[in-house]
Amino acid sequence: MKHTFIYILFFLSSVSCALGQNTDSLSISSRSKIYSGDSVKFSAYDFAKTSPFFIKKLMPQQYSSINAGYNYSKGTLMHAQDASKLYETFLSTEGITQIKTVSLWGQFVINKTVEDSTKFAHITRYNPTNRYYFGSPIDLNYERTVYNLKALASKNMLKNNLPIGLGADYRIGNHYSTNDPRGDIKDFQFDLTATAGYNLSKQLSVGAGYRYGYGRERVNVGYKNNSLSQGSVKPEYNTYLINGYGEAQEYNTNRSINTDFKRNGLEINLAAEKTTFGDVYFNYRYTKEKQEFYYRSDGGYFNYVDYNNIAQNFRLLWLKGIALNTLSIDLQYNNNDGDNYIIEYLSNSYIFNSNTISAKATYSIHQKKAIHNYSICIQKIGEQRQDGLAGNDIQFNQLNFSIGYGLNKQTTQQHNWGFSVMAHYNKYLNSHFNTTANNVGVFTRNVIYYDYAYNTTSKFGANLTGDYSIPMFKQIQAGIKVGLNYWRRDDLKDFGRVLTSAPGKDRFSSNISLNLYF
Amino acid sequence: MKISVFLFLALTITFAACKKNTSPEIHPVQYQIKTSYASKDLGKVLPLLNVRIVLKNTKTNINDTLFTKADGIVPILKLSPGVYDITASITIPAAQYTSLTNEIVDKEVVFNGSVKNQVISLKDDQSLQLDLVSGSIGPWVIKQIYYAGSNSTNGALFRDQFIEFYNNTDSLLYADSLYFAEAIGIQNYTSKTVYRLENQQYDWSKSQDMPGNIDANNGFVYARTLLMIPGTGKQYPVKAGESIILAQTAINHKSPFTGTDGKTISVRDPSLTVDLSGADFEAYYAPFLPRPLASDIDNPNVPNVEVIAYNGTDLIFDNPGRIGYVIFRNKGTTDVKNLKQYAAPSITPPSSTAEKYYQIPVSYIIDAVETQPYSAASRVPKKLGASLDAGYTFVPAGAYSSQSVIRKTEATVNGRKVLKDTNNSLEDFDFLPLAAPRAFK
Repeated sequence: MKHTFIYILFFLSSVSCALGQNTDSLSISSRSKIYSGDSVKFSAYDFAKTSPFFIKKLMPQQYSSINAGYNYSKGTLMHAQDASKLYETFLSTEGITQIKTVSLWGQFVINKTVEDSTKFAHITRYNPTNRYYFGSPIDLNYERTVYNLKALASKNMLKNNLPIGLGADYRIGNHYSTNDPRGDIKDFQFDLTATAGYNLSKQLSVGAGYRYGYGRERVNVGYKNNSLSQGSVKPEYNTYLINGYGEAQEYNTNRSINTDFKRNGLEINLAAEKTTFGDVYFNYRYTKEKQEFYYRSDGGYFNYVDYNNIAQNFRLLWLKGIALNTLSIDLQYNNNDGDNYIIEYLSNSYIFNSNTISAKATYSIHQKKAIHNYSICIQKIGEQRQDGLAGNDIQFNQLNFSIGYGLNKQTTQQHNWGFSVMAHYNKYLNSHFNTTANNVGVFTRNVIYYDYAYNTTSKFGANLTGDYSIPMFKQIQAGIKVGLNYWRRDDLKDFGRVLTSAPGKDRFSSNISLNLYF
Repeated sequence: MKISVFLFLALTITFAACKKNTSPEIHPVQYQIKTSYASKDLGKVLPLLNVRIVLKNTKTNINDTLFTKADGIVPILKLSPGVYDITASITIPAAQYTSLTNEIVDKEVVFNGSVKNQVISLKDDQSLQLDLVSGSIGPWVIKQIYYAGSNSTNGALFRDQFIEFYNNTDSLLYADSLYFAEAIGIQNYTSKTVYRLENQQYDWSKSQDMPGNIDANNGFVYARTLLMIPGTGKQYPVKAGESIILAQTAINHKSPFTGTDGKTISVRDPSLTVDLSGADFEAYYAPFLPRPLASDIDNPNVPNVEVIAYNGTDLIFDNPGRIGYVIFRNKGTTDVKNLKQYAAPSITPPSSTAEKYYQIPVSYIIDAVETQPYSAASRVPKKLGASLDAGYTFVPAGAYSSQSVIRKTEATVNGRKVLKDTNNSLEDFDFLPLAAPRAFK
């Protein structure tokens, strides 16, 4: 399987390179670099990835990049189930090109992550609403390798009045811990999107799409040191089963869960271009997913829990040119509603809701050889988890502010340099905390209390990036980019519980990447 | 065009506006535990205030301790549905007990009640009645049970198992004619071929030939192994605060020894096992078996117990811990060897070769302890009633862990350790990470 991906990677890269040679290669690569440094254009590019309906409208004719990088994070200002140290290496390539009348965008990413000190989380990190999983109190080193291939294609038919599109997203991952209890998780997810639209006028296009996807996770937890496998002597080595958001149960037999995913949904798209207001793009996605958790052995098939999640995503992008400058307003609303169904009780016990609403304004000032990017963002995050079995009802709301400035400058030799600086403030708004006293055990103390403390403290941080790129081999812009990120928290809110462990004061992360644009 | 755009957005938002459930269908339920004394006469005079109730959630292993009001009732407003082991106990000081009942006792009296695997369903307003009974607090107690054995590769497997009995009085006792039995019961919740009680244990009253005029389930235990310490009556004195060890095989298991087949038996890691060469008694089954175990050698320096009934090829305790351990003396006129024996209460009549178990009156029993597997999923229906052992105990690391369960020390009087005995092993026992004959905790 790995080889297949590597072939795909080389194929995508070579196609992009070959197409890049058709015209003035150096100027294309330079344009790609400048494109990536224009926050407004890049936010439009980012929006276009949501659906094939938009790629002809919002992506450039040609843009390719290859990025290889390394991220490092350290600090315990994090959720309880995150890693206190994280090392991540990645290689990604993406680009758009035109094959006759078809616009084709593709992206391929290989991501290798090493997590140090992960607790209570034999999980993939890709299914955050999952509430049926194994976990252990002991710190685990997790290694994860994830391959992700995405492709979008769009073609205009019927005299350019009927834009149709196809999209695919395939992700496969392998996750395992290198110390006991050894989690071993293999997963894949595959999604397809088909869209069709109609140009009602030169200015207005509407469209709709159907989305279908499925996936699988296979989780096993084992022990190399068998004497730890029934870990009551060293309770931190116990394996627990977490079902919902209540106290976990010790689970020392049949430590295996299979999860099958099925989802389908609709999307609605709209594009209003070249109006007096500017350009407006709207995308709404509705995805209904069913996750089935079961155990299969020679003894039979046991269905434990079904989990249903409905995700709704609204996104509206407004682009406006003001003289040579550009403005983008990106409004988003995302909502997840999840509920489980426990087969043992033939009833629902867990309800999850998360929602975010955000508004981001980006203003890019284009000067002769420079782009100044200003951005401001406000985002409200809310989350509620209710566990009926445990009697827990926990909810919080936060407000995020961020403001930033970036500069991208090009020299006469087509060298590019730039930097950006951004300040963040995460403000705790309000919360609700209700747990049943007779259900407090190791999971409640170490995860539920911890996360509540984390989510109800305000935080502030800053981000600084710098990059430099030069033309190379007459065809590409090659650059290096470094970034530093720092978060620190306020005092923790006293919510009347004794914390056995508490979120740390701060978290630092840095990254460096080599980037090729062509 | 503006109108069409707004109409489009309005339709989309309307389509998305469906709301889901706002609270889970399952919720913590209201539950009530009522306690009363099993004896109506005692119930008229003894208090029900502050009966200690312990609810143990079998999935999370979280204990919740509550106390009753004066009427013996404890109302619980929020209890998570699930499966619980529930015990109730009250300790009445000797002076108070004597003044209330006019019965002279020299020691506090403990009353227990328990139920195992009690299902709390999703409905509100459920209740449970627990009857408090007082077991006999005997002179002998089972002090330590090493049923787990040691590592199957590096240790001695099950060969090094032993049990320890302790003189918990301030006087000299004689171990002669002290009986030891393994109480048997059904070992699963699934078999449909036997008659069961509400707690899923065998319904012994349905056993073939069981008389109808006895309380077969509460008045007796049923033994698969029955051993007696030999002696003339005063041959084996045990001083106050001392104990006797009954070993499966009374040798030093840390050292290599020659089995009855002439082959050397040794352990790779001696630290995992125990030296039982100083045991007081051993079980020697070879004379009864066509093919005895090679490891079951007879130590001539250690007297053998008298074997009345046996199970397996040696005194091999169930190493997951699914058994009850009983010591008793014959208080009747019938020789113990002549006590009645009954087969398990199978729905179809048992075959002529079906195994039969000695029926031992509860009134004979001096002390009893029930062990269960450490894992809730592996536990089996309880065998001993609340008057014998209201709870159960286990070694946390399970089979082959070298661990033993050991009775806690309650007090030290003039250098003599008094061990805790409330007839509730959940309260009375702890564990040793490495079994150690004659150790204390």
